[in-house]
Amino acid sequence: MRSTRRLTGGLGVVAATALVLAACSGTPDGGPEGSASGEEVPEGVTEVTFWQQSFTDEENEWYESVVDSYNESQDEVHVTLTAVPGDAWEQRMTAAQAAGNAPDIRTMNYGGVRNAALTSQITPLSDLISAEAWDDLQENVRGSVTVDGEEYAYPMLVEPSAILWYRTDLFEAAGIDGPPTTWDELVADAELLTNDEVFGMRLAQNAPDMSWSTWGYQWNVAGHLPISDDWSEGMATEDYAPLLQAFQDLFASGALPPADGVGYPDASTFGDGQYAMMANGSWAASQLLSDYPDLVPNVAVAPMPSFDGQSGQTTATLGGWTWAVDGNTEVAEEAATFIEWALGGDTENVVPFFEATQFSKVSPRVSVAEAISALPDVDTVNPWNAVIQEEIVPFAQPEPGYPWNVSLAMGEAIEAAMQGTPVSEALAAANDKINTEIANSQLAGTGS
Amino acid sequence: MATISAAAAAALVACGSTGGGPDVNTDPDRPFVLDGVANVTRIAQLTGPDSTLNDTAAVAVAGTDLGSMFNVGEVTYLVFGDTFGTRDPDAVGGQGGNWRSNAVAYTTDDDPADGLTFDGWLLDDIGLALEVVPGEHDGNDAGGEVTKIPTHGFAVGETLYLQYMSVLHWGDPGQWDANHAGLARSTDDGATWETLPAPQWPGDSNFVQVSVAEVTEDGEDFLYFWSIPSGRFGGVQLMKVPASTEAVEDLGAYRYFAGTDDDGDPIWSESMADAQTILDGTIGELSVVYSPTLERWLMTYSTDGDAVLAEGITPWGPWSEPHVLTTQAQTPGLYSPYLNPRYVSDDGLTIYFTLSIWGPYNVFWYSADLVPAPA
Repeated sequence: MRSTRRLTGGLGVVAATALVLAACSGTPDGGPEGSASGEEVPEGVTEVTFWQQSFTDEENEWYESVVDSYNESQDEVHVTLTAVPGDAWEQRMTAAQAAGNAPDIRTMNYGGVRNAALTSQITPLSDLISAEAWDDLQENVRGSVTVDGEEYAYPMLVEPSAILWYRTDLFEAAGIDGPPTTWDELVADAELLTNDEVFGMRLAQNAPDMSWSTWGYQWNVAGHLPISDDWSEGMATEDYAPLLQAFQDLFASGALPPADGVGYPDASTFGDGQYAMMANGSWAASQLLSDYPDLVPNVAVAPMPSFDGQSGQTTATLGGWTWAVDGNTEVAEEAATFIEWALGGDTENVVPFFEATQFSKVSPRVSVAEAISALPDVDTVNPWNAVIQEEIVPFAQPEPGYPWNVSLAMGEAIEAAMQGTPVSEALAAANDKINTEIANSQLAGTGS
Repeated sequence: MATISAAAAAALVACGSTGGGPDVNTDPDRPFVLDGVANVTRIAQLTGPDSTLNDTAAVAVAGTDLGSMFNVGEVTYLVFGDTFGTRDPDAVGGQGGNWRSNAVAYTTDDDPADGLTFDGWLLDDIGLALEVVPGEHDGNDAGGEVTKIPTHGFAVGETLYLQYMSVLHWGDPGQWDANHAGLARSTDDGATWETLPAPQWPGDSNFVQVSVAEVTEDGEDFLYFWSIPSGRFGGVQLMKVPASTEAVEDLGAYRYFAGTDDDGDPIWSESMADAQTILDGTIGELSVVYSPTLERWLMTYSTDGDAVLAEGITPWGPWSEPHVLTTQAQTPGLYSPYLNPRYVSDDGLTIYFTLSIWGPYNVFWYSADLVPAPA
């Protein structure tokens, strides 16, 4: 969508030559191409750019539809939506920020809100979104987007990020009655279930995925996170040893295979029948229901096991997505108005998202949750919904808000232990990295 | 390095890419003129963090491969395959973050002897290398489309085309299955691209990966497509189409080389089923150019892991025994040797080519001397 042709520099040509070049197939125009979607923003209308992490087709379609509806509902503001693949997100965002054209609105994890707020990367929204919309949020979720008394993002959904998905048919064939309740049992069951056809267990397969998907296990095994509450010192202590040991034992036994090439959130290899058990988030429900309907009758869910075998403990964090407004935006008000319309207003704008994702995610808004629970067929659509809502969500913790490098240090330690590094050594290295991050980012005293 | 002089700029007035093809000589009864190749030299790394010529990190290219070339006026486009923006320093093969199925750089560098310095890349809206032909990025076993790999580009006047293969499944090394092959088109110097619904060639056909050259027959301009099936284990077949946008975009306008008649003249069939194999073997990614000094066709390809060059008397052969450019033992992880008719020494006896190396998964620039047979 270019209104004018620009010749980019670097050729050192005189104007006359430039004309010749323009008339032939000359230098491609490397200038900005406008919106990726190629849509026209009408004259005199304020454009608000919105980047969403690309998720499933169903989710992306909802984003498109809610943006289209908003654009049609009024003629003051045009929201331009771009879906960005997850593995490109950071690099594209960094480049956009460097070029001064970061999107006005972006999707953001709960875990990212605090740090982004403290570094002014995002704009406070308390006064730009109505009290009614804020008050409709569950208190603990509202707390996840609140920093020093100001709300910095509007929550869209929560979803527990670690649930045990298991194949009831394979359990039956192996003579195992019911899901494992301790990690020792998980390791033993996984070995028993492994044969020429299937691997016993699927967990996160690389350090970045291990970093966030194991927060719940970290809580469970140690009773704390690997940094002190005030973020002044690393706490990657021996308390975590049983968790690292479990990864090491699973991998050594062959029940946990080398990477299968898809990320932790992707349930496709489990859907293809390659595993007897899988740790994955509640979102896996919609993927299994959409893409692997034949497998659904043979799949059950349970909380991930605890280390002491007691139920009703934290074994998952509540991840999920919020919408935040860029700290340098010039259209904060327009952006916030759209966010409230799409996420915080009429429940009819939001409920279709939860329907499209087959109730595999939870709305943090009381009125939306009520509207969904009044629908007749939630448990019919998502056979795992009841266990997730009753046995997992109530015990889940919010995602930690410390910088990513702290989480990554633990992910790298788990990966190293899995690959055979002695557990104590891996934990010591993690603690060093966390202390380095505390010093580098001056975290001491900034914790919540 | 790249400069555009006034003279060169004046020459651009006559730009447009077609009409420059050699007159096809169909006489097969001429001798091979090459004895072999010598002095194969790695000149430079063109892409990736270790390239001293091109800062590809600036456009989020940490690892990429292929680098086939086509020329439009003074500009050479380099077309890359699966491209990753972030990678572990010691990663091998096609992996990493910020995956795009393809990327395109361009250069006006007219001195190949010291490597190619890129003028720029086709960019997305935030200034990173653009995935010009978007791939679906389905899982490798999902039965969909993993990626769209551009195998060669070409131009008709000011319209740019990329031929791509839609990959269904990456199998064992050198083996992969395709859904189909097709074309993408740009009418604005490559800034934006449209994946065309037609023409398409079946994924199990011999027309999945191509190399394109312009050829003149009796004053009429054609595009010749030397083609191989998916993977690296098939032979070469040949198709042609008149060098017009209308014909290029019409599957029915393509003709398939079906052998020669009693006079040695080519038989061109409307039916793909009639296509004859013009070079048998386990041919991997190939490129074909005409050498006006030698008056012969040169084909580079990979076979049994080695990069080789064969000499062709006519576009459909006969082809000489392959002359080894470099072996898998000498250059582990090599594939995709690609020539460009523009990058040849003045005497025609030094050729330059891109070569992909699986580890570090980037593209390198090579030269080789052609050794003429004794007269």
